[in-house]
Amino acid sequence: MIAGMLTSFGLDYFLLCLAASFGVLQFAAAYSRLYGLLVFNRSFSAFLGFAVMTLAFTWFFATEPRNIPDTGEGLDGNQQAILFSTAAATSLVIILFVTSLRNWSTSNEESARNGIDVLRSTTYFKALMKGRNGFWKRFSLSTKKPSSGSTAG
Amino acid sequence: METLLTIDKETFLWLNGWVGQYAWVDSIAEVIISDYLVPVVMGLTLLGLWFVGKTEEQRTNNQLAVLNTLASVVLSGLLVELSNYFFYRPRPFENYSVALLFYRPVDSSFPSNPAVVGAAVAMSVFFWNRRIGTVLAIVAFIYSLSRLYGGVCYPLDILGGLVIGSGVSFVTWAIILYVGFIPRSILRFARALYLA
Repeated sequence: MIAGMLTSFGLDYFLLCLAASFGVLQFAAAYSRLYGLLVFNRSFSAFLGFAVMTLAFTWFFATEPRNIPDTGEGLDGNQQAILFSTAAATSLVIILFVTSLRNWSTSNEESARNGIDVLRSTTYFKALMKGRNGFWKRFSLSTKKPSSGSTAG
Repeated sequence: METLLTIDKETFLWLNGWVGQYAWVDSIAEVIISDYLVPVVMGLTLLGLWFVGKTEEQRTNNQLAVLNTLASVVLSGLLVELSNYFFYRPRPFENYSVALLFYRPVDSSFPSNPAVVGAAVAMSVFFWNRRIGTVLAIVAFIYSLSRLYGGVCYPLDILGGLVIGSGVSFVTWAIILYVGFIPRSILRFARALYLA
């Protein structure tokens, strides 16, 4: 299965997912005001995210015919899932690294927030360093019981 | 049953008969029908959904929707494998002269894999986030329709796929609601790492 993914088409698919995931993460972070995940300022990051996503899909589908069977050079469902997950995780790690290094000097104000909301006011590395001794405490205290979903909008 | 299969065949032949009438529709269908567009778009939607939500409760619901979807897709995939093991329905192009916009898949026509996966994703999200779930349901429907138009499967294959995908989503949603300590523990772990 792994060998089947290491083809030119597999690489193209991985690059599509990597770039598009980067775009989606920037767009989502801008929408949710997670400043600690933004590579640039909010509006430019949202624009960049959308542009990268659009360009990635245009490149993938416009450069070559992509209706390729999984019995040939194409990817089956499992291979697609593995490559997509790897690309999305890689993209997230790159963003966490870049934003943490780029915004190293930004303020690290105390915050009553928990979970990902901490990234509204600080970077990922700073949040990790500050709470390095409190993982299990956060793990046991950080949950609010979720609703049934009936009020979701 | 015979009547149902006749209606199924006639509906397929009527819809597939439109291929070649409008070149621009065929071009769009050839992109939508791809194995790599709609699944990636759905995956990206789930990725984005994990990070958005106006309130903490809404974001938690979105994240549970993502976990619900992952479980549904895995379970429905297993069901399709099981179904393919016991049951094989020939593809339309094996029995009739059809206009193909896609390659010739070799697995069973029933149930339609894209319909199963599309419905599993859309309905899993719908149970937690109506708006995004509705958008995904429309995308899944268009994706399934493109397979029908492109000559790859019959209407009943799509219908069966939608029922299987939706049913599995409902079951996983109910499990998460009533014995949801595993997804909640996953969220607690991710939250402690500032990733949820």
